[in-house]
Amino acid sequence: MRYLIISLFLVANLFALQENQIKSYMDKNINLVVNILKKGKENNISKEILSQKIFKIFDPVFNYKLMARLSLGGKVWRTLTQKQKDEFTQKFTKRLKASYKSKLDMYNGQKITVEGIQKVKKNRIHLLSEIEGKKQKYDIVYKFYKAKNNQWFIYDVSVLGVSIIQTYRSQFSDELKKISFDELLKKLDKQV
Amino acid sequence: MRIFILVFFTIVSLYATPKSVQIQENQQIQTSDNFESEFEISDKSNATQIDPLSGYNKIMTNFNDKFYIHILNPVAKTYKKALPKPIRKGIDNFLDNLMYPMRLLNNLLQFKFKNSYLETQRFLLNSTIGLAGFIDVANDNFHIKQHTEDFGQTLGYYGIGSGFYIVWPLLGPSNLRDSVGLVTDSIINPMTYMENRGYNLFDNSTEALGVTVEKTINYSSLHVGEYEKLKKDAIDLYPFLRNIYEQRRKKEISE
Repeated sequence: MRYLIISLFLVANLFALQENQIKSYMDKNINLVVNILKKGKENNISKEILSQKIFKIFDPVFNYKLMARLSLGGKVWRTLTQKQKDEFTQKFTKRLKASYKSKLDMYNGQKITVEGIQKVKKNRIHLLSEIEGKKQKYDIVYKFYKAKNNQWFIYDVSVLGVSIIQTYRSQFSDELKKISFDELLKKLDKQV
Repeated sequence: MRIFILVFFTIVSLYATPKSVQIQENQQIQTSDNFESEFEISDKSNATQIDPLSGYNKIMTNFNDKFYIHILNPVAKTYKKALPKPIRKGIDNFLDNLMYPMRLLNNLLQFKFKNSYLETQRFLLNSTIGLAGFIDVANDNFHIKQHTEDFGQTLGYYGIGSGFYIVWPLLGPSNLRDSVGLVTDSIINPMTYMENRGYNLFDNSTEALGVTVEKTINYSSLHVGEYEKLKKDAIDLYPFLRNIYEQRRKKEISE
């Protein structure tokens, strides 16, 4: 019986991020990322390797599929075939990661701190963090939602109050007034 | 043995959860869709909906982009090579310190007394120990951060909506409200020249323009490459910059 409880505990911890763990989980992992970046800077490690290490840490809590869908908006999403949805999700995720990767060399040893969590709704939590700048502090908010089984995932990140998903939404809706969905897919590819 | 089997099955079933959880999760997203409304509110409040100047704005965005890439950026890069960073940083601090009246007034107009006080402290410390503002001792030694506010934010604070989006030549993204703000701030700003104003740092508008040009080049030399990095994220530059501007201003006003 003891084994059962222990194994239950271990396995449950491996997969689900629970509400009360969000802060400590993010605290721990943001610190990990900062260390990776610092070491990367000292030893001149390529952005490719650094980003892979970082994505390995954060991939389990990001719901890229949902992020892709939200960026496009439900109205458009519903008109797509499964193949189009999958293709879009794959390209969008790739793009999101490429964009993150391209900014890694802007990190210059700044302090990053987790300021706290804010429960904005029953099923939404914002994790507030700050990057220390020269004159001001810059805030980054990770937005979590509650999925089934009380697991929490990130569905948006906002930097200085600018939501990444919102920015894509306004671009995609503007683009789709001018070009077809398949052309948009091509465009996503081109610029990464 | 029975316990062993039980443990085994529990583990197997738990390992199997991620997949089934994901399927359930997706179903849940499809049905109870409160994500959409969360973003739709911002879709509508953004100037996306009403953009009467979009034709002109697009041309101007393109012009500013070309101006930045082909003129300002190369000049800033040369300037960067010519002057060591501490000097450029010093010039930036010095010119920024002179914007204190604008920051103070707008903090006061928004009843931000603590920030007004901190701004005053910064101004006094930097103007004296900081050698007329060249060194940001307030931040470096006393850890007092800047609390900048402009008149566009003040108008927003009093509930005035952004109005439509306007892209100004050289100045870049703005909107109706913030354009009024820009004009008002320039009246307070001691670095502009106005004949009938009681105080003027410069003797004529040519000198004032010269300083503004210097300020712009100096600032750009401290931020070389940032615009290009940001721009890379754009699928379409015009809606991209418009959306970022609107979101950013909304946030600044709410703070």
